[in-house]
Amino acid sequence: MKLRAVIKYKSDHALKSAGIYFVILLIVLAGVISIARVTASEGSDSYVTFSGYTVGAWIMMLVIGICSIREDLRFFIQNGVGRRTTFLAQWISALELAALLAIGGQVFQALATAITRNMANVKIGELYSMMYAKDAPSLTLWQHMETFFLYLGFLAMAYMAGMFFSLMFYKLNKMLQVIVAVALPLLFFGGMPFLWMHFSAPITAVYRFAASSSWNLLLVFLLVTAGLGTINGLMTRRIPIRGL
Amino acid sequence: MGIEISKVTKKFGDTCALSEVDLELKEQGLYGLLGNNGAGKTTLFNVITNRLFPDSGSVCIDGESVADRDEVLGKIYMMGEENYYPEDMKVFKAFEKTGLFYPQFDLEKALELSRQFGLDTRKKITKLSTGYASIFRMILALCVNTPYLLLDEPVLGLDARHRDMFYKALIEKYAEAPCTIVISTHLIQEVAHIIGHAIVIRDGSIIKDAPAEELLKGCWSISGSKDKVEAFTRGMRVVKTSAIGGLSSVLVESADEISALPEGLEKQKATLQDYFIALMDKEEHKNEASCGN
Repeated sequence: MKLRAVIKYKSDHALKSAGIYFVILLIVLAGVISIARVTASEGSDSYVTFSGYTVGAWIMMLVIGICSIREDLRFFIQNGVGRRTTFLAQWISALELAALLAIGGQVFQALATAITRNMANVKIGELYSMMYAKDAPSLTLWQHMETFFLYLGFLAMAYMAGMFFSLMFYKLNKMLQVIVAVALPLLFFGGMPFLWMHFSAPITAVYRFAASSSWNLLLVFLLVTAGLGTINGLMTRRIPIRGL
Repeated sequence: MGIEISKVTKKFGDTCALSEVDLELKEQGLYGLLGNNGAGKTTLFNVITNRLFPDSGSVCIDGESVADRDEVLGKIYMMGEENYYPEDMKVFKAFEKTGLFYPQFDLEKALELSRQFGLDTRKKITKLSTGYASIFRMILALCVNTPYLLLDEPVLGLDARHRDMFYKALIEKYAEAPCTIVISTHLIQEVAHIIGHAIVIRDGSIIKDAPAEELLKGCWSISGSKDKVEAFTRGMRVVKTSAIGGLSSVLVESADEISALPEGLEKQKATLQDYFIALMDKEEHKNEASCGN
């Protein structure tokens, strides 16, 4: 197995992606602070809030999941790496990047809190604090750990979801691609009310279960990730690999 | 040892790209995979390198199946017509990264060849012209130093000078470190002097698989006036006949040495390209005849 070479190749990408994302978020933070300063100096008592790190990281993971798998299948097979190792590399890469972004999220939050400590009209939020820490000004070490694992599961799930869509569209023929592309939003917007109408009790139960503890929510994320990962594995197993 | 292809069949819908292909590529040797467009050359390479799975049959390298095994896949390198590199990757980066996966990759040689061919290593791979994209892939193939090398249309888009440089570099590489090289090409005349073994593929089936010398042994092109040629070649195994006006040229396979020629006739050793064209015509006629029946 050429796993060492594959990990090195993917790690370079993960570090680069996480670094770029972190820099972009720092620029956004600077922008948020600048807007807050301007509004404060104008005597306005409005708040400027920013809680986009987690959602932004999730979208980035989804996009990387979509783009990586096809690119990696091509590049790795050209370099004598089979599908199994490529699939394993996706997991390693997803977890590595998710961990980097999870740590980055904590650093970002700490940095943002420190910078905006004396700015009453700026509020920087994030998923865990909003859901489980009642917007506490600072988190305990245990809560930091919970945040890290929650992000890890949340972001790994995004990567696997991206990979799932990419592989699905890769395997479908042109006609089915169009049908699925049209059906997906229809099912989402039409299916949600339907699901709610007929399955409100189990949906509420899952929601309550997830909302009661971050570990429960993490479990939900991990179950979805494992499910998507299994389907992705099956789709990758005998996929034909063609160049561009 | 070598590459063993046993009963490989690959279909795309109703099209049978490979039909029960049996082939053995021995360690160290220069093979030519010759065939018309759509004969199944690229599909065969894709199956050997596990880019495509065969519908039936197996491919083994040094006795081990290639199916999703990195150790086995690492012994082989395919230079294809398509791009398998990330769209934003630059040439130098691709050289570096190839070294990660093939520790025996010769980066210095790759840079030297890039200089000789005028390939700008700072350029993105996807921004290279067709010719330079071929040069980039060809340099990778020449420097990767794997025991098995598959070259699919290696001179696609190259000008005459670059083609000549490529063949020289290929021969040099083979002389320095002999390995198994399979060249799939339409330009038969250009590779005829390089390859030692010819494999002819047609409609997904291997129709000839023999050393080039053996294929052409006893193959002669006899030309002259139509009547004289006809009279002389009567009783011989005629592979192909072509006539313009009163002149005729016949490709014959003769077990005996053709020594004494009647006056007005000329003989020439048949080239691999002549032989290939004759073989294809013969197969075409065979097909037409079987369709007629």
